[in-house]
Amino acid sequence: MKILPDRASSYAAEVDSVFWLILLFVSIGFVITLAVLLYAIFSKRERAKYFTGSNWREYRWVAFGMIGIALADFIILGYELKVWHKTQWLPEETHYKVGVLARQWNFEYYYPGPDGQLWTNDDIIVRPPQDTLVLPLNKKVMVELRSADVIHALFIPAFRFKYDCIPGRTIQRWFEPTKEGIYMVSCAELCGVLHSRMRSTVKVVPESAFQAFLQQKRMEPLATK
Amino acid sequence: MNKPSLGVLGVSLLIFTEVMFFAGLISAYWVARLEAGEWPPLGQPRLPIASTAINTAVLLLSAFTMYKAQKQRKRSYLAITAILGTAFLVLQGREWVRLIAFGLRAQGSLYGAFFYTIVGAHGVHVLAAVIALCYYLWKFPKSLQPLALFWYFVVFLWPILYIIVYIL
Amino acid sequence: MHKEQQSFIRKYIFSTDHKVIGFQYTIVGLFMALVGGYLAYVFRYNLAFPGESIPFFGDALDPKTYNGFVTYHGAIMFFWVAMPILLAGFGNLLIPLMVGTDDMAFPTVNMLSFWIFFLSTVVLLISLFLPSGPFDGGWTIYPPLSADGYHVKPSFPASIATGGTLFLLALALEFTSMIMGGINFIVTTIAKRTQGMTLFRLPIFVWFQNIAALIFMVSVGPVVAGAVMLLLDRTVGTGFFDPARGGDPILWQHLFWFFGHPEVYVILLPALGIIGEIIPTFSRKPLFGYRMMIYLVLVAAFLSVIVWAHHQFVAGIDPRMGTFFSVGTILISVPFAGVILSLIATMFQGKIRFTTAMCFATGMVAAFLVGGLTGIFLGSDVFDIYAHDTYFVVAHFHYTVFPIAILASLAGIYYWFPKFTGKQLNETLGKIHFWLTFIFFNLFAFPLFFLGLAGQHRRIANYEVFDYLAQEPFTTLRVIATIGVIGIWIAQFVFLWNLIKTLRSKEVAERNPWNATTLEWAADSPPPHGNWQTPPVVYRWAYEYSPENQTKDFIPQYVQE
Repeated sequence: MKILPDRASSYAAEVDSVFWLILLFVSIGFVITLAVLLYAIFSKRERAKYFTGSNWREYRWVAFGMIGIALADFIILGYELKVWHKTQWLPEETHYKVGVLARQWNFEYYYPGPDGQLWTNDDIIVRPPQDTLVLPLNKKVMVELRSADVIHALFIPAFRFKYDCIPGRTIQRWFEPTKEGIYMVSCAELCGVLHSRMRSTVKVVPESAFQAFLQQKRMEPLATK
Repeated sequence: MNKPSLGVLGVSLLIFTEVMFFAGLISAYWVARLEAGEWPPLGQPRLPIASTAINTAVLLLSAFTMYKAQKQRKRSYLAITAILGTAFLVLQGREWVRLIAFGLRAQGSLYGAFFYTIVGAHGVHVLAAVIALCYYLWKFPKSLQPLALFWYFVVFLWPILYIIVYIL
Repeated sequence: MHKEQQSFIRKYIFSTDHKVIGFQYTIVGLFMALVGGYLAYVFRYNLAFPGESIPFFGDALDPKTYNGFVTYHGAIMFFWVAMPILLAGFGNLLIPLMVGTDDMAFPTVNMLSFWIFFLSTVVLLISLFLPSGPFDGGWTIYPPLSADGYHVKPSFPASIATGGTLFLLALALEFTSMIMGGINFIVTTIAKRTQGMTLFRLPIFVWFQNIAALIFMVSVGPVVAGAVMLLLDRTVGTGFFDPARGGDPILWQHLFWFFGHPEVYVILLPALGIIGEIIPTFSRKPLFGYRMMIYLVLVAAFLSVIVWAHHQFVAGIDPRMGTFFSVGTILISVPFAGVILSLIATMFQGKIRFTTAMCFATGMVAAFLVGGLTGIFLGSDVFDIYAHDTYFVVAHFHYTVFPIAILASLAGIYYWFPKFTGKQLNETLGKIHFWLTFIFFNLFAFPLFFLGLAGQHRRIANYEVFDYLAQEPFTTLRVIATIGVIGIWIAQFVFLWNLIKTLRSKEVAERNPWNATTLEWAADSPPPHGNWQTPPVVYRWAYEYSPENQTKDFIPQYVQE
């Protein structure tokens, strides 16, 4: 059994490394504290020893514990804030743009049309019954999240990516798919009766296949008309 | 030992909680206003700054009469305070009626919604304070201090709201 | 005859006696714990065996009812179980006794606060049984979902009788009641202490209750403002949280979490206070680092009101804000590490006696340790992006809130039961109760960590459409968690049996069965209205256990040496 699911984005490994780093420190803290607790329980005697912890000599052991956890905190923060910076700020150059419009209870995906802009009339739209977000392999993709009704959240576990889709505002984040395949997408914010069934998929394909997909989608409306 | 009076302590804590309540409302108002850009929004009636200034004066006067009532322990001053408080409420109500006639609705825009909510929340507090005043007028207990404290809170909160909502 | 009837009502129903009010709060809280626990059983069963009919309930849950039950489970356990039992129940029972006075500062306000709370409970239960269905927008009540009640928006007077409106109304009433209670606690502690009871002679329980009340009063105002705005949105149709009219749904999240995070400390501190009384008594040792503990908790209380937005990392907040809130959140681990280590140090080289109360107290510390440490994962903004709204969060807060609301409450009930009923609960049954509760709790909550790490998101009635989560081992883990919940239920029947057995027995408990030092043990069991014949006088701090050069192993606060 895998603890964390497959990784399929450029920063997924770093997000996981934050988890393992914290797990390391937390496990050490937990084992030590539990050992101290057991030791305290088994250190019992016929008559209790009177001390109140009101001077440094007695209190220092607790103080060392606090200093220890503070140090661990700073190491964790020092590392994780670097990853935070990388995941949150948009990279200087993104190759593609994708729009996500969530509504009760599905996701619609928007690719910029000929004008290169999102949320305009010429956008290429994937909407139900199609529900697959097709993405190019090894390209940085900027994602814009919006909602048409209530708050949803686009959750792609394999990308370690989850942001709310909020009505009235647009959230911009990015990812870079690094592994071909089909991945689960779910809505991670309670959004009404059918929240339980709100799902979608991501399909990562080589860039050429992605281009072909866009080309085909562009033709589609003509074919239906 | 000089222990503080229970009533004063209790009312102080109540006021503290109320301050946090109004702080929440005002910060919500401020956030909405900054996000909106144009404020008041186009096509919305302006608030009556001048006539509300008279209301403000009426309420501030009531703080003075309350102070007198406390100092001289006279029922008459307490009664005047109650009348001034009621007058404030009536004047505010009259303004609301006029504003509704001018088309300022709570449903239409945030401007109206915040105006009625903030001013209304204060109005409810004045009403509660007037009712407490009437109770004190009837019982006339030894110490008017807890009531006076709450009254000052309600009175001196108003100019702050007036400046934030009407003038700025 | 008629006269006695009157006095019964004054004595047990509309009483101003702090002990009766404390009992009333606790009994309503325990009753609501049954309701909340029942809801948990129903939806846990549904998760383990999706689509199957549920014993003691009926058909499998439809998604709407499922959402409703999850919503009410959360709200009930927080606001109608933890708050009334830990804060209002124990606070009312103990604060006047511990500071050595006859009653609360404002007995009538106290009575009123209970009846407002009772009204809020009634309103909440009505909203659960409305024909239009219970409120199902999550206990965090996020608009716009909570603002318009799913497209169906009845107009003004009818809009009051919807689940969501009554739910908000019940919350507002509950907050009002707790504000009144909190004012009473603080004023009683400041102004009604008995002779000799200085601030630093107060038992840690009183300190923590007061700090909890203070945090509550700092943080509750904004959420009440938010609740008023949301109620107006729902009833008269304002647009505070409606983006179409310039409103902002994120505003609610700020107002709610400014309260919601400190709220955890509001219930945590009374729990730690209970533990802080029990551990010294059964270790026969002074509380370790008493003053330092108070200072640390004040620091944590301050931090708790400035870290709220760690619930909003995924809501697209400015990344710089994310940094600030992440640092603040993770640093909260430092003062609480100090408190937990001090509690452990109190046991060190003590003469430990594992009574049921002590078992629950130690179990609380151990379980809370897991909850506290896993908080560091979620405080880290990077990992929170992944873990937010997954079962990792669910596991984390059950490892904090269950020890607080259940283990600490039960510890307190076993410890103070002889004082307030005059009878002592059976220890053998008590220990069975403890071990069953503790083991089944871990069986329930621990698998949830793995489910969360696998990416299982919250508030889903049925995982069948999520192929990855619908396979092994996740289905088995969900079954294990459900067995845990059923086990916790079975354990509570042991407790119920113990309660009935004890209350029916004729044995009378001693005045101070645990040889404790604090003032409440000086009163009769149960203490009469007014508590004391002559007010006690305090000569020392609250933890004079096993003093050196003495034969006795404790000197109570009220004994002159």
